[in-house]
This record gives sequence, C-alpha cells and structure tokens, in this order.
Amino acid sequence: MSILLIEDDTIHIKLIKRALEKAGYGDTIICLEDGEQAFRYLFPEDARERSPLPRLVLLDINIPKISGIEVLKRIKGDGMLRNIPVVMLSTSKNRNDMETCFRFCANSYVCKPLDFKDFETKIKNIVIYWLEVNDVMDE
Amino acid sequence: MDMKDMDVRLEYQILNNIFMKTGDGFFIMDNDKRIKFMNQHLIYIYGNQIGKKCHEMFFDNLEPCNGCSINEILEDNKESIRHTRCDRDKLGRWLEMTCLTTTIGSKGLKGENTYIIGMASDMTSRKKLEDALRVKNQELIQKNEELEKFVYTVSHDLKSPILSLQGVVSVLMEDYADKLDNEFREYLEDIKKSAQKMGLLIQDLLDLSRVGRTRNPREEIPARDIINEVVDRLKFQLNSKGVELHMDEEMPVCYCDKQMIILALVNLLDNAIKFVGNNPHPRIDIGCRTQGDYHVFYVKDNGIGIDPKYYEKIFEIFQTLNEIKDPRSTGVGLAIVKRAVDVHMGKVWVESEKGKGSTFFISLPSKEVVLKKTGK
Repeated sequence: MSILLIEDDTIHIKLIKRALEKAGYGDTIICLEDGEQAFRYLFPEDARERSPLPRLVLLDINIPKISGIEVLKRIKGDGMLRNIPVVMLSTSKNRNDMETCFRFCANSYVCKPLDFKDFETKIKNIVIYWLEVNDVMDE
Repeated sequence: MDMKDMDVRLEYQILNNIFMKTGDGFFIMDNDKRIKFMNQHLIYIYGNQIGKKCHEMFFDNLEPCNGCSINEILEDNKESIRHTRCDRDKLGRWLEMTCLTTTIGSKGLKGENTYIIGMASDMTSRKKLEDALRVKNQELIQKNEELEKFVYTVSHDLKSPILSLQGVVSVLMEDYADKLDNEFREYLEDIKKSAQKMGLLIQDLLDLSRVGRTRNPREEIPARDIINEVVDRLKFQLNSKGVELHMDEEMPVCYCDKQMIILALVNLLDNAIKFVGNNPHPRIDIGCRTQGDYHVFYVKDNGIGIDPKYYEKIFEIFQTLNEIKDPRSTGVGLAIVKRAVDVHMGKVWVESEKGKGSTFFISLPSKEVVLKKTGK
C-alpha cells in the first residue's frame, strides 16, 4: 500500500513525509517532483513496466513541467487509475483552483495551513480518511 | 422716438449683440428645418447658409440625420421642448446641438408659426480631453489590475516558504529539544513568531487584493445573517476575552456583496476585541440600523479609544496604533474595510474618545440608491 506524493518543494516534501511517518505511513511514500515524472511513473509507454499502483495520490497544484491539474485530469480519465483517491495540495484558497480541481474529480482539496501544527494534523487526517475510513479501492 | 421706443431699441441692440457676437453658434429654423437666421459665429465657420436645411448646413446630409427628434418635437406641436445631441459636423468638429421649439406670433393649426431656436457649441477640445482622460483612465485601470495581480501572486508565492520556515523551526524544537539550550530555543521562538507574523500579513494582503479583484453580485440579505456569521467566526476570541456581546434586536435587510461585508465586519469586530484590551468588563455592541437611504452597521467597544488625530490615518495600509501590542496586528485590516466599503459606494468612519471606547460605522446605500447610482 503506497502513497504517491507529487510535490516540488523539497522542504514541503520533508515536512509531509515527517507528518506521514508520525501517522505510521512512513514506509509507504514514493516522491516525484514534477508532472513529467508523474506521467512516466503512472503512464509508462510500455504498460508492462507500470509500477504498482498507489492507494492514494497527494498532488500539489503548482508543480513544474506538467501542472498538477493536468496530472489529475489524466489520472481521472484513465480507466485503471480513476478510482485512486487524489488529494490536491495548494497554498492557495483560490476559488477557481478549487472549482477546477473538483470539476476534474479531485477527491479532496487541501489548502496547506501556514501553521505547521495545523499542517501536520491536516495531512495526517486526510490520509487516514482516504486510506482507512473511505477506502474506495475495494469497491 | 419716445422713451419706450428707445428702451425697446436698446433692448433689441443688446440682445442682437449677444446673439450675433457670442462665441457659440445661434440659429433659427422654421418648422421645415430651414435656416432663417444664423449668427456671425456660424457664418464665420459655415458661410451664409440661410435657406438651407440644418442637416445640410452642419452635416452635408441631404436627408435628416439619424436619431434627429426635431420632427417628433414638431409633430407634438408643443412649445419649449428641448432636444440635445452631440455629433461630428462636416468639418470634423464635435458639436453639441441644443434645439428649443418656440412660437413666434399666433400659432397656426399645424404649428406653422413654430420655430426652432438652435445653439451649436463646439465641444471638440472638450471631446479631445475626454478621450485623453478615457485613455488615461483605462491605463490606470490596467495598472491597478496588474498591481492587484502582482500583490496576489507575490503573497501567494510567499506562503510556501513561510510554511517551510515554520515547519523547519517546529521540527528543530520538537526533534532536537534535548540538545537546545535556552538561548537557542529563544532564537527559534523569535524566528517562529516572525514567520507567524509574516503569514498573517500575507493573508491580510491576499484578503485586501481579493477585495479589489473579486466582485460577487450584490444581494438582498438580512443584516442579522451577516452579523451572526461575523460573530460566529470570532466566537473563540470573544469567549477567551470574556467579552459581553450585545446585538440589535431589529435589523434591516441590506443590499451588498455578502462575503465582502462579512470580511469587513470580521476585521472591525476583531479590532474591537483587541481594543477592549484590559478592561475588566469588556463589552462590544454590534448591529445595523436604517438611516435615510443607508443601512449603517456599527461595532462599539468600551476599550482604549482612539485619539481624534488618528481618525483618518488608521484607514491607511500598514498603520497600527502603538497602544495595541497585539502580535496579530498587521495594519491591513482597516484598509480592507475601507476598500470593501468603497466598492459598495458607502462610507466608513470612527467616533471615539480616548479611554472610553470607539464605535466604527459602515454605511451602505440601500438597493434603490445603488440601482439609481449604477443606472440599472
């Protein structure tokens, strides 16, 4: 059971990893730093090379090369991947961003709180929710 | 010639001088729109056009101009109907034409004694200035939009490193607690406080730029709903300071962008909570009343009060009162209030006495006034 984290800010990666470790998911995180890496990982040219599918994707909106929204669209448009919960991460509460994410079937939208304690709690809660409370992959 | 004739003659000369020599063009037409008389100013510009029709003289049109309502005026056979239009004449000048029907002698059945007195003013230079002003205005709007966008982007991009900064300091304080001496810990606390302050400042700047950028449609909304939501958002702060809160029993329905006014009032109430300071019996009154064509929200506290010399200054951005040593004060809150109220064509002001508390007022125009002002 893995969590795929797509995030370009290296400090945010460390902080998210630490929050997940504290929640007991430390060994399951795979990190990718831009949209191209995410495409290669999730949609390899040769389908036989596809890595095991993650159980949850944490996807930052503003990532280099291919935007988070494009990655989201591709995941939710793929027959095999569309049931994987995708949690969008952003520092913005921009209404347009939120609407766009939900239009393309994001499962959650998390605005990263500036206070680190709140941030840790929010990340932990959202991961527990999608992996344990609302486990859509088994449906 | 007796005195009466002298007076009439004098009066005629005076009127004739005014008519002939004034800097604006005067002319008289019959009910067939034929020029019967024109003053020197018009003759100087267009030459003698007596006998021609007005559309020929001014615009070289053989037919009456589109949108000309002189015919309607004549058909109505009424006196003193004014008709004004602004158009470009055959020489490229912008003319403002004002025509007035008048009856000279006894009026015939079909209005044959009805004449039209016309005045043509050259508006070319004013039009040029108007055009220049419009261009400058457009440039200003564009610059403002760019600035809003810049503030938004900068504020947004700054949030990410602040989270990093706060996060790293928190990790250091937590994971290396046993290795930090007191001095080191204090420095880390300072960094954390600064990062928190910057976070608040950025959030406020984002709110300020949002007030400038977004416009939700105005709606009719009970003031009570707005105030309930405002109080609800600050319930924690009100409780932790033990504030006694009083709300108006009756409140009107106002007409506004709900979210924007909530944001403004949250800022005012938040300030009031800060202002009540160390008063052992902190009390805040909040409500909304109708005054003429306006709905006036107010937030009254029994706190430290404000010196009258700061009444205007406090609404400027980055202005904070030294008395309030609240680390959450960024000096942006009242600027947000002012901008939200400006967008609503309303007013914001404060009445206060040092040591006896302050009352902040926001007046918003009623729906009727807004519709009238916006021409809808």
